[in-house]
Amino acid sequence: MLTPLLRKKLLWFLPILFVVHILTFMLFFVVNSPDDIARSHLGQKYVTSTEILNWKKSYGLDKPLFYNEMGQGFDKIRKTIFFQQTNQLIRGDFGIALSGETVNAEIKNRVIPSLAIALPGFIFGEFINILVAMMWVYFRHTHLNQIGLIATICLLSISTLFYIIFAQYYMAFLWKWFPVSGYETGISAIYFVILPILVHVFSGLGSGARWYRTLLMEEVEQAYVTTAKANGLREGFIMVIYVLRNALLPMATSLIVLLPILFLGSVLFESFFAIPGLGSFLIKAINQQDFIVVKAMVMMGSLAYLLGLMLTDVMYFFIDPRVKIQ
Amino acid sequence: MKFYLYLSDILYLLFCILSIYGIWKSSRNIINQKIWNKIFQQETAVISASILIFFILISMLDSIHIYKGYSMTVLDLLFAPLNIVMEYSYSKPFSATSFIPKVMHGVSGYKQVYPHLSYVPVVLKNSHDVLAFVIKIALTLSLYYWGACLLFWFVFKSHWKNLYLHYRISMMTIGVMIWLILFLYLLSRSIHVFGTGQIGQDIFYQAVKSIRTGLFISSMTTIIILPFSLILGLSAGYFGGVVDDIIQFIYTVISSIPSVLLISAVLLSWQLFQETYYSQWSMMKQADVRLLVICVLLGLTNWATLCRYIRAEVFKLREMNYIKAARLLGSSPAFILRQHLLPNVMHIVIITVILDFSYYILAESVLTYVGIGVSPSTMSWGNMINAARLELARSPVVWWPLVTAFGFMFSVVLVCNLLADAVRKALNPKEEIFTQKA
Repeated sequence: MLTPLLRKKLLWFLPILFVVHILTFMLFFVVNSPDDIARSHLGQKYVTSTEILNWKKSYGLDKPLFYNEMGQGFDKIRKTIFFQQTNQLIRGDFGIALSGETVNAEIKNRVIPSLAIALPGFIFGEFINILVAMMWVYFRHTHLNQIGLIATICLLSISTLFYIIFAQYYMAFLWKWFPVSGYETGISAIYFVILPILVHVFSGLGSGARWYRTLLMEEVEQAYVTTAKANGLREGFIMVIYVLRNALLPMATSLIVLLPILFLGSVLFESFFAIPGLGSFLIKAINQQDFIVVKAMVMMGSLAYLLGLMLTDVMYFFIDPRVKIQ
Repeated sequence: MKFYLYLSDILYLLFCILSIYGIWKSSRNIINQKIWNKIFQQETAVISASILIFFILISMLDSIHIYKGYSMTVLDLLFAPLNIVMEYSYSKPFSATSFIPKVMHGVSGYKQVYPHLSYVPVVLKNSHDVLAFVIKIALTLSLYYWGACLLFWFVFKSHWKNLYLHYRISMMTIGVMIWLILFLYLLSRSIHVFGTGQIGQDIFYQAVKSIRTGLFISSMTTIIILPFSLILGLSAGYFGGVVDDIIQFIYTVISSIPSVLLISAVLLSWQLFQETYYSQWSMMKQADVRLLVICVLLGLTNWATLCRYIRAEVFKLREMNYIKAARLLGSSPAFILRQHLLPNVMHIVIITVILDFSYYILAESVLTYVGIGVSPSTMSWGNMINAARLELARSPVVWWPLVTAFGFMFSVVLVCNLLADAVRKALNPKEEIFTQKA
């Protein structure tokens, strides 16, 4: 039952990935020719053509873009940058970064620190958001409703940068509860990871709680809730057993959409707290104008998004029995 | 003195004028009047809209450039000479002397002194003098202000009672805002209200200049999103089939790329392109075009959400009897889309657009921090925060640049959010799900 669904999805995702590949390729190699890239890396002025050629050769960019007139037969297509890049991509090889290391090795080293702050932040964050939203809906007939509304609008209006900078200043710099920034491998990483996670949880509270409240309010107004109440069930019991369960479906959808963010780590948190994850890798690449790394990250990001979409379907399969019947 | 406009100025002023005209025009219609009444029956909407008017006015003043020896805007003219005054280094808000000591050669050898700020009049010797000055300004201003209010009251006494409560609230808010703005402006004529930054630039002036950048990014992004998501969303929903598949494919591709990545990829590429082919552009023009490129990119990464909502809604509407009737009567699809479907999805469009409006202001600061935001020569809250974020670690701590930037950003975003919430309540009282999880 599950496999045909997944197979169909996979067939839908492959062209998307391919289009993303073409788009990024156009962006990086057609809008700016490899010569331009070489020139910008070697410095704008006083660059000889042999230097450019050598640079291009060392990064494998010394071929025509799409069509090689010099080649024979199939080589006309094979000896081109596009074919070479596509081939690399299919083999799962993202090339070499400007720092000299392969992008694959970098990604491998950086995934774990990234996940170490993104995954707990995501789980705790969503858990607390749902909890707050449930409390909010539970007390919807009291003044807490209005207070919650105003409080979340205020929370929404504060920039994430504010939370990060001031949490770092007070909790780490002044009160010395946590280290200001940095990361260590192994179990001592926990010490470094707590503050980013806390800030992550708190900065998402405004939008998260509002979002889940909207979902829950939709369910609370359903007839079955009135029936359950008329039958004498307690409000709290109804909230947890019936309402939450029915709201789980739209919740799952919205959760999965957040997966790529989780994979990339939060770029902001990683750079502020100096965590050597994928996000800081990306910032470094942007600052160095490292096209190869940015391209690799785009591919990884879109792959993660598509996997997330697929996970949604799998989750629907288990949460919603109606899907199985179709 | 010569007036002139940059591309972004033209676009922004056009947007402001067109939206004012649109609001005025739409309020002629009885049905729209009901909606407007519904929105402005809420006090928060009235207050936030009244405050927003001032922010928009400031940003419009900042969009008209004047050439007077060097390029400046009308706002610069009002604030002159704050736009060129540079102090020695940091100075605290409301202070007469520099925050950083300078080593001076005196009669009895070298000694550390806190130099008097060049912008502050010599009469104000220390912070006590400044405080007395501030109180004096506040009292004088209040005196004149109450005089003006009394005059106003006597002239319009008979009308005031007949006014709707919400007109009165609006006028009172506007009154308070005028007082506040005049007060800050008068103070800024002789002291640095929010202190100075590292190279001695006035923080208040920078924060006020940033209003235009923030509002510009939001409004332009909205303008760019609208046609994409309207046309694609409407046609995907109405035609279905292959058209729907193609449009779905397009937005899945776009939304499958995380927005930070897409923006950074395109911006990097643009930067190189501009360096290669348009390297003769002046700094101002580069910054101007970069601002527009960022708006286009924010639009590109965010249109899919609205498109999806419109598509889903049109799917529902398509089966309605009045659409079927229109089709049977031989109306062309273009006519049905424009005349029947567009007005009926308008509430979704307005809610989504206005809810996202403040999101772009916040996004600007984050993007600027990551290094893919506005150019460093554009004044924006993102740039201010980026420049000041390490200053908290100084001892003694320099807090005012950060707090001012966050404070201004917070007030603009809060006002937008309050207005957005009021609009949402009026147009969508049942809280259907059109809001995006940010």
